[in-house]
Formats: sequence, structure tokens, C-alpha cells
Amino acid sequence: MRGLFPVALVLVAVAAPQVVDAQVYPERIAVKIKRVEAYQRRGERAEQTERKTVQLSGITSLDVGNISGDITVTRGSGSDATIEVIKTARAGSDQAAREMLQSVEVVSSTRSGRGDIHVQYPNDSVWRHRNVNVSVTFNVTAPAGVRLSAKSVSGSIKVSDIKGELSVETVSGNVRVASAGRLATAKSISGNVEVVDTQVDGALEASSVSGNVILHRLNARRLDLGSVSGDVRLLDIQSDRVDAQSISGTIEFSGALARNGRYDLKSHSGEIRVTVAAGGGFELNATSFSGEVRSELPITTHGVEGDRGRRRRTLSGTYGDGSAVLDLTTFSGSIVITKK
Amino acid sequence: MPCARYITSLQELADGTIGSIRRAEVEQHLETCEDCRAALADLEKIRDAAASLDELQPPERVWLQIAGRLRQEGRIQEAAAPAPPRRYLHAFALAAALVIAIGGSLLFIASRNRQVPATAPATATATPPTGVPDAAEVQAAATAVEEAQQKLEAAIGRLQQVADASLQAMDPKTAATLQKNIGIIDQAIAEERAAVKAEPMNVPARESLFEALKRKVVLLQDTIALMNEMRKGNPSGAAEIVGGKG
Repeated sequence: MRGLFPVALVLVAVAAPQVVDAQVYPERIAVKIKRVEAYQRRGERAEQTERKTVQLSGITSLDVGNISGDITVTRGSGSDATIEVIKTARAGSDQAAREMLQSVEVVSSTRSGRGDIHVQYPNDSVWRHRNVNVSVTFNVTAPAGVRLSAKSVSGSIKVSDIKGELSVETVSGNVRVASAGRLATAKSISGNVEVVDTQVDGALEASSVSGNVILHRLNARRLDLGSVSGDVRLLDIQSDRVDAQSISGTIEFSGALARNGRYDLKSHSGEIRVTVAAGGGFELNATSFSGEVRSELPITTHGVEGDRGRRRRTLSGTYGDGSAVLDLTTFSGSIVITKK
Repeated sequence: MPCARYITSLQELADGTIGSIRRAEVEQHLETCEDCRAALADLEKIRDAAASLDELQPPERVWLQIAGRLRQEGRIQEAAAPAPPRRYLHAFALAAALVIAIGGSLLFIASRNRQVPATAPATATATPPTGVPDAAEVQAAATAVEEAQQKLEAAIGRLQQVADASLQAMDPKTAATLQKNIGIIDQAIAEERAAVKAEPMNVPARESLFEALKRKVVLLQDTIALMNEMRKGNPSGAAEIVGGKG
């Protein structure tokens, strides 16, 4: 079924309705023919799968490295990690798929309590110029307190209930972490990063380039967050220090502000929305170059207020006891402060 | 609680990085504001305490850049990982050098940036009030900022060339994502540059511009570091493998 879908797509693209295209835009047909040829060259009609289970005993830390495929980590008991490895190869024939499957190795080791499992793709002259279409899925059950590093180039990573120091990074895929204890890093280039129900003992750095960064019900001493085109959403957050940036995405903060806490939220064209829980207060410095600053909360202003009577572009002042600092900056977006 | 508009000045005063014009302004303010005097005293205590703390660990990409430089100079060798092609080592070393240059430019710009007031006088007066720069000082600061900005953007251009080479070697999907987002930052930079041109003394516009330039530097650095990481995972062609995921 999986193999037929692209064929159907290509057929739909090249079939009857495209006659109009051919008459008006012949170059489009050429592009589509190239796609068909590329598909035929790949000819991935056969699929081979291999499953095995790897046991890493007595570990206090674990590194999981993948190139193509997902990683899922859940909490187990004791001090051993159990890893289900599922390798899948796709090729033009069963024989080719089998050869491809064997060419990709999953290498594991344990030394001084440090476990490591990663994928090794072939690097010899036979395979150097061939497309090795093998993906590997890791389903890991690890000790709750293990120090975990999980990295994938193309694949999503999910981690839950791991209380040791945690670092999760992928290039193309989503990251989701739930109920972690010492999450330090959560990053993706083209996927979303989501952290929920987590009590971080220290600082957390979370970022994406094109995806959203979403933190929900999280408590951390410090948060350093960023995205280029995605949103940064912080919902029910407790943190003493938050730095969040986006270029075109919205930045949203909802939660209680800590006494003496500092919250720096910056976006170029996205909106900045802050929803403050009742009680406490803050010193506000909100600036937008061409957008608008609005506050539902009564801010006692001081110094230069700016644009009084017109759309307000800056707002500096104090709300409540002024015990936290809110520094909000956007170039062309708006800033909205509301009460929870 | 210190006055919000003087917080940055107080920090710079404590750090010893404040310019003479703003120093005079904040010192005048301190004569009449007890809260800010107390905040300054606290900041000085924090500065002294911070000097005795352990050094923080730099981000991984900094180590990658240093490692690239050291490898190129032949000072270290990785036993397990095969050496990446020479052209990438060269590019990486170049990127590291550019980042240093860019960092220097940013510091220079930031220090100059802070010395220019938020609201410039519309016309120069014969005897400006204490703490307000005259037109010549404003012009000198603006020229310095512009020169530093040009140097920074030239450095970014060279860094971009290195990143472009990395993008060509990546799988098309990831490369397209990175290129698209570099384009988004470029668009932001263009808008902010136009705003700075229209309102040279507008501090939010200038700060936004430098933030976007810094963001671009970080993304370009990450792109180069990413390519290096991918090559470590599969030196013969991680990009092709990623691209081939079905």
C-alpha cells in the first residue's frame, strides 16, 4: 500500500487533466516525468524487517544514536536497559532489501556503567554511492534515573518518566518529553519540541528552527527557548528566568511570575501574549516598533509612555508589587498582556 | 525596586562598561534615587561574588568549532572517526574565525548602541543639558554603528558561503527547511534595516536589527555544526541516507 501511494500520485499528476498543462506549460510535464523516472530508479517495492532485543546491564548513563528512524524511551525498573531494535530496509527486490538490511549494523556496548547503542551505516566502496534505504526504530526501556542522551538525524524522539539528566536532539522529526526530572536540552531543526508535566532541576534549553516549542505544566529554574518560524508557547509555567525568542512566530506565556523573576520575550513579527496569574506583580518594559502594546492590567506608568492617545507602541511601568521584570520586545507584532 | 529605565545603565555601571555620557546621566539620577543606589550596591556585590564562581561550560557548537580548528592545525586526532574531507575542515576553521570576528563586532556595536539615547534631540542646541549628547557625538556614534554593522554583515556573508556549502551536502528536505528559515531571518533583517535607515536613532529598531543578525549567525553556525555531526554519524553520506528514508 505504502509503495502504491506515490505511484498513484504520479499517475494522477501526469494523467488526463494535465493535457491542459502540456499545452500551456510543457516544462511542467518535464518536471513530472523526472519525478516518475526518479521513482522508477528507486523502485522500492520490497521491504525486509529484522527485530532483535539488546540488553545493557548495570548502566547509569545511556547514549542512543540513530540516523533514520524513531526513538522511544520509557521507564523501566532495576538498572538494566532493554532495547527493541527494528530495522527495515526497502529496495527493488527482496534480495537487495536483505543485503541492504545486513549492511546496516546496530552497535551496542557497556563500559563502566555507560551504555551506548547506535547505528552504523556502511562505509565501504560497495555501498558508498548507493542509496541505503534502511531505517531503524529503537524502543528503549531504561532505568528511571539513567542519564540519557538520545539523538536522531531523521526521526522523532519520545521520552517519558526518565528522571536522570536528559538531552534529546533530532534534525528532522518531533521531540516530545513527558514527566522528566532533569531535562537539559530538547532540540529539533524541522519538528516540534514539546515538553509536558516536567519538573526541571536546573536550566532547560529548547529550540526548533521551523517547528513550535511548546512547554506545558513545567517548572524550571531557567528556560532558554527559541524558534525561527515556529511559535514558542509556555503554558502553566513556573520559572525564575525565561528567555524566549522567535523571528516570525508568536510567543505566548501563561503562568505565575516568580518574585524577582525575569522574563525576556522577543519576536520580530509575531505577537507576544502574556497571561499573568493573579497575585504578585511586575515591572514592565514593552516595546513594539510598528505594532501595538495593550494591557488589560492596570499598569502604573513612569518615564516616557510614548504615543499617548494613538496606538501605544511602548509601555513601561509597574503592576502590583513589581517584584518580577517583564521585558517584551517585538518589531512589527503586537504585545498583549492579560489576566488569567 | 530600581527604576526600570535605569536597570541596564546600573548593570553597565557595575560592570564598568557604561559610556561617559550615560554615566553622567545615571550618576545624576543616583543622587536622588535611593532604590537605584541600593540596586547598584547589590549589583556590585553580585559582580564580586560572580568573579569567584566556577566558569560555565560553553555550548557544544563552540567545542565543535574549536575542535575543527585544532584538527586543522594537527594538534588533535580522533581515533575512531574518519577525518572529514579537507575542504570541510577548512570551512569550519573559517567559520570559527568569522564567529570570533562577528562576536567582536557585536560587542562593539552593543557598546556603541547603548551610548546613544533613545530619543535624539531634533535640533542641536548651543549648550546641551548635562547628560544629553550633542549632534556631533550622535553623528559619530551613528557612523561607528554603521561601520560596525557593515563589517558584521560582510562577515555574515562569508559565513553564509560556508553554510551554503554545507546545505548542498545535506538531504534536500533539511536543506530546504534551513534555507527557508535563513530567508525568514533575512526578511526580518531587511525590514529592520529599512526601519533603522528611516529612524537611525530608534533604539528598538536597532536592537531588533542586531538581534536578528545575531540569530542569523547562530543559525549559520548550527547549520555548519549540524553537517559536521551528520558526517560523524555516517561519513560516507548521512545526507543521502536521511534523504532516502521512506
